Amino acid sequence: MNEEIQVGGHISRQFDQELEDVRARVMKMGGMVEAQLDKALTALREGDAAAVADVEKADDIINAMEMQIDEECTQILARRHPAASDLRLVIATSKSVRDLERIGDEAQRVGHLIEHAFENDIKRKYYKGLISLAEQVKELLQSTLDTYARMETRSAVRNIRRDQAIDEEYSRVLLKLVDRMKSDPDRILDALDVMWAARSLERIGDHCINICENVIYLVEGEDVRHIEADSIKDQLS
Amino acid sequence: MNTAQKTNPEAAVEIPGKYQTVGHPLLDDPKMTVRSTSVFYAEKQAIFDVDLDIGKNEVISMIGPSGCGKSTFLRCLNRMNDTIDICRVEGDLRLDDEDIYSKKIDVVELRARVGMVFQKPNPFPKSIYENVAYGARIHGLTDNKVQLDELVEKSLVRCGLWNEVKDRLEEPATGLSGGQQQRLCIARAIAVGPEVILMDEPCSALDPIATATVEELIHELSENFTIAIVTHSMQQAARVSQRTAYFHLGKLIEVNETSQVFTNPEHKLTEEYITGRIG
Repeated sequence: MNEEIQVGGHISRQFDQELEDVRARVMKMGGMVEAQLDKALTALREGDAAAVADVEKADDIINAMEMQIDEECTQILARRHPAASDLRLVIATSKSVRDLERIGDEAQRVGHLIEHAFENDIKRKYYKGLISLAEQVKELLQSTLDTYARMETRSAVRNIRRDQAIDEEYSRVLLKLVDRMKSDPDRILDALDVMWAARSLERIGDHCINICENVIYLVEGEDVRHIEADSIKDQLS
Repeated sequence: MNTAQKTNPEAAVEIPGKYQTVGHPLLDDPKMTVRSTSVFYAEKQAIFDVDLDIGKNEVISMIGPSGCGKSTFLRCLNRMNDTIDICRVEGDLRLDDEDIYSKKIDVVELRARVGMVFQKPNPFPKSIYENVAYGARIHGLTDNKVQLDELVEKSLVRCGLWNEVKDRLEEPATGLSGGQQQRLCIARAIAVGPEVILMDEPCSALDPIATATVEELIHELSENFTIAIVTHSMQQAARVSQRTAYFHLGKLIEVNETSQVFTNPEHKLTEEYITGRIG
């Protein structure tokens, strides 16, 4: 596995700067998206919806950042004609930014659902069942952002494997909610809300995996999409 | 295609003299083969022990920083280096398995089979017609004027120049635009029925429109000819060639599919050159 990708070192220092600027902006955007999810998790843990009060505002900023980074990538493609690892960096970044924006959307959706999560004790109990899933997703997002920052294949592969545990936890949450729907049909709508929140958390995990696959493409030049997590290492070796 | 030599990426620069090219320099059914070839200008070695095949009907581009030896290498392929007294070529270079440096080889005939187009369009100070007819006449390729007229027309048509010059064939070629002159030089080269065409930065003196026309011509000519092109424009190499060879300080560092070289080159030096980290 290749573990060394150089962003700087071009004869044109201006080009170094442009690439660094784009990367720095992606990491800032990643930080904002992470904060969105963090607020949802805090609200779930503390049983208090106050933490998710301003998710809307942050989402507007995240959307604007996506457009700005996309424009910068377009300008680099048009003006610099990047090749090899530079080309892969721009392509991987442009794709990852789309995933980050969607993670922001999903985190916003979870936030909106949590705003009404503590209206009664039963709903509160249902939402508590999401904490473990939300914690795992948050850890995966954190690790994914580190992986992008360090441009590291090994941690990208590790993260892709971790998503399997998230999918399993998601299935457990769903089964539990289905049981609750059966035993208390009057609360089906409440259970469905929680199911939507769980679905959004699981989707965040999938977007993290997309970003990790983009990092592997950037570092290794290999497209590992649609490959089983356990086979990726074989493909790269 | 052979998957011959995959080596330590640093080998080509770390070991002085002997080294191995990464990628796929060798082919199964080549038009030209170059083995253990070195070139010297007096005592100074310009090319180090190059092994490379050039495939039938392929377009292969040679890229690398100034002074890396790519033009010197290209000129070995039709013995243009013979014209330089201090230049010495060692190794085994073959066209259809025939040793092109053998004493039995007629160099004039070799250069008809392996034609060359230069950086600056260099039409003869003659008419447009004569520029194309000249080679065919000295090689005795036609029996009469009608056949020669046909050959001139066919060559100009193939180069997309016929419609632009058919009404002024007797006018001086030097009156054509730069792009037209370069296409005329290509028409002149193909009129003598070459099998391989060598192009040494054929578009560096042309504007973008003329460049696009010549590149389109290269694409069309590759159906019938083998083309080896030296270019400083990496975008041009990416656009026109199927394989790309990267030279560095006289060594052939990497030969790979062009699609790979420009997205995921195998050798660190190739990566550094095409991303603008060394020049």
